[in-house]
Amino acid sequence: MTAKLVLGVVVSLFAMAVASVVVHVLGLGAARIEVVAVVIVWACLSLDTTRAALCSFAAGYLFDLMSGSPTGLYPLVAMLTFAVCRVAVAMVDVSHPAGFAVLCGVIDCVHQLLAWGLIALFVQAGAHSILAAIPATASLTALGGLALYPIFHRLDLAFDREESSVIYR
Amino acid sequence: MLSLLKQYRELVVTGVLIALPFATYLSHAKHGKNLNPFDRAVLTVTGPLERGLNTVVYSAIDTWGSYVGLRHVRAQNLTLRAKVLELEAQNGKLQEAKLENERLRQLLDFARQVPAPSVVAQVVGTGLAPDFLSIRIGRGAADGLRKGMAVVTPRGVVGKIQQVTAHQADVELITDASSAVAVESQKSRARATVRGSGDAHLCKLDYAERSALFEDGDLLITAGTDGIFPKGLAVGRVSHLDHQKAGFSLRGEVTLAVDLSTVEEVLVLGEAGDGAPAQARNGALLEAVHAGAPLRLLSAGVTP
Repeated sequence: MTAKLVLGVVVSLFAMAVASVVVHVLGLGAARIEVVAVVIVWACLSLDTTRAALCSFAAGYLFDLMSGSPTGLYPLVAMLTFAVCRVAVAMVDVSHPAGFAVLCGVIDCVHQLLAWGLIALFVQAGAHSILAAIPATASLTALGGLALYPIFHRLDLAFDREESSVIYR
Repeated sequence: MLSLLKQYRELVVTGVLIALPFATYLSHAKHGKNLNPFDRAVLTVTGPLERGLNTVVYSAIDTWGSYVGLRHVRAQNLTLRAKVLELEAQNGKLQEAKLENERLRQLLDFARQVPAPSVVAQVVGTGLAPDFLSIRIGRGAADGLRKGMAVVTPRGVVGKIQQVTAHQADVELITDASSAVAVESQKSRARATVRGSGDAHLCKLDYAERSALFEDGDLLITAGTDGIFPKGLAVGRVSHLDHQKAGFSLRGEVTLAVDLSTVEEVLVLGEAGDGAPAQARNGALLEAVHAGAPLRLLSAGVTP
């Protein structure tokens, strides 16, 4: 299970690198593909709570480092998002790629709103651009979730299914 | 205590993982944080990975872009090739028209120089019979043409009219075996006859007196004694003279002044006094040429 966690983090690292290139190539402006939200959703669906929390933290931490100006914001936002997502996945049935993508979009909205709230609360600058980009970023993240679903699904199938993950319960 | 921690492990881990970045963010939110050794280690490990991945992704994108670009270039190439063919065809037509104009100008200038009235005519076909070398021209009896009239170009003699219909005529070429033209050497003024050989490019020198001064390369011009061709028109050059001791006359070949296989426009020479209408037409044609009218139509007999 720990190997699955590590592999999940590695996949998220790869996905972030790819997303940064895609954003650059497509010239998406303020909109982004927030791989961290996808990773959090997958972690909540496929890992137990502790490992899901660690995975989310790791994804947030990598995202923070790759943001170019690390402040510790994104690990915090990732963990808060994880908390919301962990509650959410217990209430929804996600067994289809489309459902996974929609959940990624919704969780990304939460992720962005939390980031906006924390920035507005402690920095009070640059918050408006985040709000304006939320719909586009959530949509792109949903598409990113759709693209990453086969990889995560294969990862799930490769490991033991006896773990107490939500998706296989 | 330990059992309590184990019991609430999930909550504790989650709490710590929230509290830790929260504290970090609180202290570094405004000015950013300096990277600690762990951050540097992570970046050291992930940096090359990210760069490598970026290289791979950009390479894939470039390859795809090149492929799409090549497909676009291929389509563009096909379009441009079609355009080039079209332009080459247009250019060929223009070149052809230009050359035709030049030839007709020469012909008309020549028509003004010859003493007899003349009619410009376009070659519209070649005789199909292999044993009768002829061409067909697009002028006929309606233009004043009659059997026996001389047909020439500015370069020299072509032949004579063999048969005439209302709007076209057949010209017996001087290379035809039954053709004979009275000639003289431009250099020595010695007289002879040029006969057709049946070969499309050569004639035979005949009735050249052995005592006469003929040399290879001499230019033969019409003598004006046969009642068909006026004096002084180029016929060809003497070649392969046969200096046999026996016989009354010299024999040799004549390389023609005019390449009969490529003639496209000719001048039909009338007899003095019978070509006033034709002269008037040529005068009008010449004026039209200088005015830039389409000579292809004019030379085919179409009134501008």
